[in-house]
Amino acid sequence: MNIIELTDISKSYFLDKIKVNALSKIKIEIKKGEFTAIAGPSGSGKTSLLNVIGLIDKPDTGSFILNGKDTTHIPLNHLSDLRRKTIGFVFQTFNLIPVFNAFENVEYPLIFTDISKKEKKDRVDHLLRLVDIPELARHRPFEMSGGQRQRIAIARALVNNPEVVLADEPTANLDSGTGSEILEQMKRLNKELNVTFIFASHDPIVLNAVERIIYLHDGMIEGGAR
Amino acid sequence: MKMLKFAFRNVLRNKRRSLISISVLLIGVMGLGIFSGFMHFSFWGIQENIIHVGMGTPGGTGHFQIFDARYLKAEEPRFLDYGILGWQALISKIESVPDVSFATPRIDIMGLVSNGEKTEPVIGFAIDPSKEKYLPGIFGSADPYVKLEIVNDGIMLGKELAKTLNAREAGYLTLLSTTTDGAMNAIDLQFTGTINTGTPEGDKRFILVNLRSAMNLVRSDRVRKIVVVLHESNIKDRKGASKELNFYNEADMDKAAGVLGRTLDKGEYSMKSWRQLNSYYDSVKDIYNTIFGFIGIVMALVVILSIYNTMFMAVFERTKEIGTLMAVGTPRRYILLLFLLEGVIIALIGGAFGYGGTYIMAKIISNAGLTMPPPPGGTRGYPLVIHTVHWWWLSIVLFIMLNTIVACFIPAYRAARMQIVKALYHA
Repeated sequence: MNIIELTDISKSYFLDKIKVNALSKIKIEIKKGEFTAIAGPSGSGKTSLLNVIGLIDKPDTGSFILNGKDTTHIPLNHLSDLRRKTIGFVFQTFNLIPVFNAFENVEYPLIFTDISKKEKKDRVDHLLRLVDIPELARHRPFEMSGGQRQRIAIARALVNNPEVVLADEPTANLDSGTGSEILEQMKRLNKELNVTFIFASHDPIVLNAVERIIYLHDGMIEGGAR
Repeated sequence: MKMLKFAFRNVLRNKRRSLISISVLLIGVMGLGIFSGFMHFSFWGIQENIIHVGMGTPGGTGHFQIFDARYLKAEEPRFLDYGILGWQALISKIESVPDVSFATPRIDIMGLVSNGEKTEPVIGFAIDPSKEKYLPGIFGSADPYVKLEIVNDGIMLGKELAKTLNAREAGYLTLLSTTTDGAMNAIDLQFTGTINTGTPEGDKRFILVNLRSAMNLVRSDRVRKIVVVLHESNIKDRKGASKELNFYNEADMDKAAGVLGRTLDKGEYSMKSWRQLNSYYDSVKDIYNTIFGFIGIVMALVVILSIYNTMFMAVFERTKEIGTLMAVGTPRRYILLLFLLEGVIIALIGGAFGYGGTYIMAKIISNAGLTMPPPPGGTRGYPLVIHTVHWWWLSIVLFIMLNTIVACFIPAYRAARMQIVKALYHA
């Protein structure tokens, strides 16, 4: 079953009045549970594609079906619910909320749900155990290493039981050892939870770990699945 | 609840900036609070001075004055033609009203005082000192009335007038005036002492004599007016907060006037309140209100600009975080709410500290024994007191808080309208 179906997606930006084609006629299908990377040099459109898939940016043309729901004509402002329920984000710079401790950071997306307090706690505790840092629950981000922060970010991305986790350069701010550990953990979660993982990265650690690589060059798909 | 906790921690995030914002609110609340407390004290002081001592003109007005109705409608043919006859019975009737403390007769005197060598034009009152001595209360001295009560044929002179006439204790002066028939008459009166009217003009021209002396002089049994003084403890401030200050409002005065009006023979007598008798209070009130309004606008602008700057900086610095919050599914209205809550928290802290600071500062200033210089045209300074006016201060706190929230709205709205992608990749 395809969790993501992109058809003829194009996206352009204006940079100092110059039109930049970030994505051109992208056609991708990603199945549920895939562990996929979008690769390519800087400026190839990896992040732009991830933003479209993550429902935080709208394409100029083309259609996007996410988990069977056509999102093409839904305005961006009305997508926060769908985004929260379907997609988890992992960022290059972790993007944790500095005033929250690890537990609260992971719990944050649940604020907007009807889940009971106990279930929230159980879910967050479970995820902190899954990412192997239950002892850091009461620690704030500034008290943690980069790897620990990224684990918190992964737990946060998974807390709403999303269908898809999008990770933009998740290893870029980590040393290679930590990066490998994080990737292994993500792979384990991918298998255990059957969650689709899509990376935007040109890090060999990521590219060696994924099952499929979509190469982008100048906003166009260059190759198929590995 | 989580959003409130989040907002509170964000306020603590940049402590220095939050402290500056809170300080601006504190100064705003305290500035307006102290000024409003001083205004309240001034209004009260002016009111009580007009009623009990006299302000701008010598002699307290009392709370009400009762006249023969004709006197206020037409020019009287001869002096005291429209005076009150049978005033003793009328006073008894007025004093039977529960709210009335006492009523006392007066005749306005115009004439000349001579020491035999020098003659000066004078104005003043003929009074019943046995009652009039209770009028100044805590606001002035009863000494002139007490002295006049002892010496039946006494005369009190304004202190400058006494100097001009070289008046000596127990020496005699001649008071000349017209009788009700229009003839000139004169009586000899014993100089009993000086009075400080509070104004240079009053000190040069004002006299006090006993009612009986004046009646002999003008050859009349009538009095010009009856001064009515209310039990002030029966009259409360609208909120009951300032009972001890004897500061009351129009509604209380209207109520007392209504009872008095029903007691008096309609058509025969007219009544005027202290405020109708002396426009000084309303003039000062207008000036103070204008100044307060101006200061309020300036404070509001300072608060709005300061809070706007604080919140704008917070939004700018947290742009990436706002992008993250929206990316993980925070609805835009919650972003708006978050920043508004931060503003509300700053406003609440600033308002609470401002309120407390105002109270403490008011007590410190009031107990410092500071004296204000005499007002324009006055000769007496007065103690600087800041009244505790809780409901005014609460209004000020609410006003400042409202301005804070208004100032937060634009940055909060901008935060809520951000494009997620632009926010996320904000450098």
